[in-house]
Amino acid sequence: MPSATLVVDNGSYTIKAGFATGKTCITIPNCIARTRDKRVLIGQQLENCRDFGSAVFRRPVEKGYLVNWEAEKEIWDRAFLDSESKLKCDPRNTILLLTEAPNAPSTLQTNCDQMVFEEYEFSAYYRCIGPTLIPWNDINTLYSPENPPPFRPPAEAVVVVDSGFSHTHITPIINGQLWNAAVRRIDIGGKFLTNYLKEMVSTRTWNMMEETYLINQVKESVCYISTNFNDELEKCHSMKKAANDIVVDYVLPDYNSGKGGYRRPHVPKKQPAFGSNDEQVMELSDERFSVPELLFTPQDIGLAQAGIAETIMQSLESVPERYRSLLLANIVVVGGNANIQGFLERLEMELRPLAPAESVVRIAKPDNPVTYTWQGGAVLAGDKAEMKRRQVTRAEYMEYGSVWCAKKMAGEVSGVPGTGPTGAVEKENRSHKKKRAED
Amino acid sequence: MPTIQVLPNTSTSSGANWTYSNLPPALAHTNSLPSNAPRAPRAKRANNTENSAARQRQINSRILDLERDNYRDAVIVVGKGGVAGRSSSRNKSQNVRRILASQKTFANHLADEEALHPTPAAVHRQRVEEDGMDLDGVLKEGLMDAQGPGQPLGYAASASRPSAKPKRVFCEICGYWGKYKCQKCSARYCGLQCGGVHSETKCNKFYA
Repeated sequence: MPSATLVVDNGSYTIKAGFATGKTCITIPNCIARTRDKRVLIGQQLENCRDFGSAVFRRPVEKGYLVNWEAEKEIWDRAFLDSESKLKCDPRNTILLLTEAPNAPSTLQTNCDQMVFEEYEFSAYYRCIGPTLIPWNDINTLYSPENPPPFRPPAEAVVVVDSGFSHTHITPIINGQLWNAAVRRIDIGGKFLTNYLKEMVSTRTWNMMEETYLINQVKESVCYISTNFNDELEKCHSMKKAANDIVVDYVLPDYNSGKGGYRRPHVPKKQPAFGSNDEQVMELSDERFSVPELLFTPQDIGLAQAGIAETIMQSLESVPERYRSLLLANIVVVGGNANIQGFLERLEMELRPLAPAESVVRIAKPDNPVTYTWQGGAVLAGDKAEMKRRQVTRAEYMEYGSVWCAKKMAGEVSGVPGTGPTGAVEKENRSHKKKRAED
Repeated sequence: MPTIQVLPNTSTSSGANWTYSNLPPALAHTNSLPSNAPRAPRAKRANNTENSAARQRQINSRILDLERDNYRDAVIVVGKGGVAGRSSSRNKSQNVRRILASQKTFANHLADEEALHPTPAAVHRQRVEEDGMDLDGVLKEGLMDAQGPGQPLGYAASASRPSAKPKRVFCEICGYWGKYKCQKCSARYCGLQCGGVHSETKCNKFYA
């Protein structure tokens, strides 16, 4: 019998992985980096690196979909097979629960199944769409933390807004079932925002075109989403920098002394408060809110897509009317961008006028939006009967092949061939063939 | 998938004594038969750069730039050294070898997917193109069976539809509202100062 279940949320920026029983989720950068001193760092090794100046990255997950297995294998091998790793496991004795983004091309899904069973040889495996794991979390505690109503997973209806590194997905889930027709995607994610900030800063102050890693840190520490964009833009334009509380300084890291970069309140340049040190400072004012603004107004950059609030309404159009109010009252925001300050307030501000007046709009963000999907996966993995119903074992894969495996993951077949309704269909087909031969 | 949209451009092909113009009807007369009259000054020519195909290309390439992982193309070769606990000489199945050797990008996979398993939406689009008319209602209702969760839409069809809100324009230099447009390259700027910076450093048509 398999001893443990490994839950892996394979994101484009980080892998969130851990054993279902352990309840601890480990975040591993899902990339291979080459620093300027030509060292190649893989996955977890990035955490020991201090100098990311001019580093270049190779990411196996492209646009949210696992594309390059050559690179991914290097990262997985170090994370799951290396004896030094905390997640070391014996795949032959482990069940794998792996996430993927919605609407993945079927060739990529098949590649994934083949790698899991033929290369890693996990004893059983369930590949599911990431956001569908959210309803397994006790979402009632998000809305009423003091006195949550009793909860039995999966939650009845949830709209998951998953704003990740490469895109933002809106996925309504009803009774644990993904509502495929209503899944919507906005092609703006954390990477897009980082690059946009990088471009902006490079035209205005320091040339940062090669410093993706640093700008990502700057973005995480200073950016916020404004609920009053016009006024704040006006303020940044008209007020002096010294009097404007939006302006902050980001002190750039000094790689020679090994000091990291950090954010501090704005200090006017003329009177250096820290003596005559040679620190380099980047001033940020309207960049702070006009960058993440793109999540809500992609049209500003010419992208022919709507912002998050409008896309939620577009998505709900494809859901039967009786569910719409229920879904609007159960919106959960996950993914790295949910950590941007002001995200919830802005979403609520924009969604409220779009939603029908009689429906309640409730939006919640879990404590850790990055690992929330993983947590849901851990709950699902704990439900042994449910997992048994969904997973494909290695023996079954070897017997019935990857096409059947893909169908089972998609929920198109429920049991092994030859039993239940699918068996009947096969027999029917055979009799059909026979009939044709007789003709 | 990029959305495909027919944009007006200014190309015309002239026959004996007629012209074929793909400009919208309201503009078609501005581009009539080629004549020997001197060209109108730059400012007077029909200036529809904001909606032109060239402008759209510019926007698309900017969006592609913003989706890149690295500023420059970089190839990081992964070392051959295996991980302890797994011998690298172990026999790999044919599938695994094929997958590991594959250098396909996501765009390649997406194109394959469209060709192999056309989504209902794509089939519908193609049918409309072939028939030349949209037998809408019926087909579309069939696609969106609102009572069940339905089949996955596919990558292209699941993209969000364009926003109903108008596009806002910002100064390319300082980020304030872009009230003015550069006459040469139609970039936006907010005032004299930023306009000066733009034409000195960033104007795409510096020598125009």
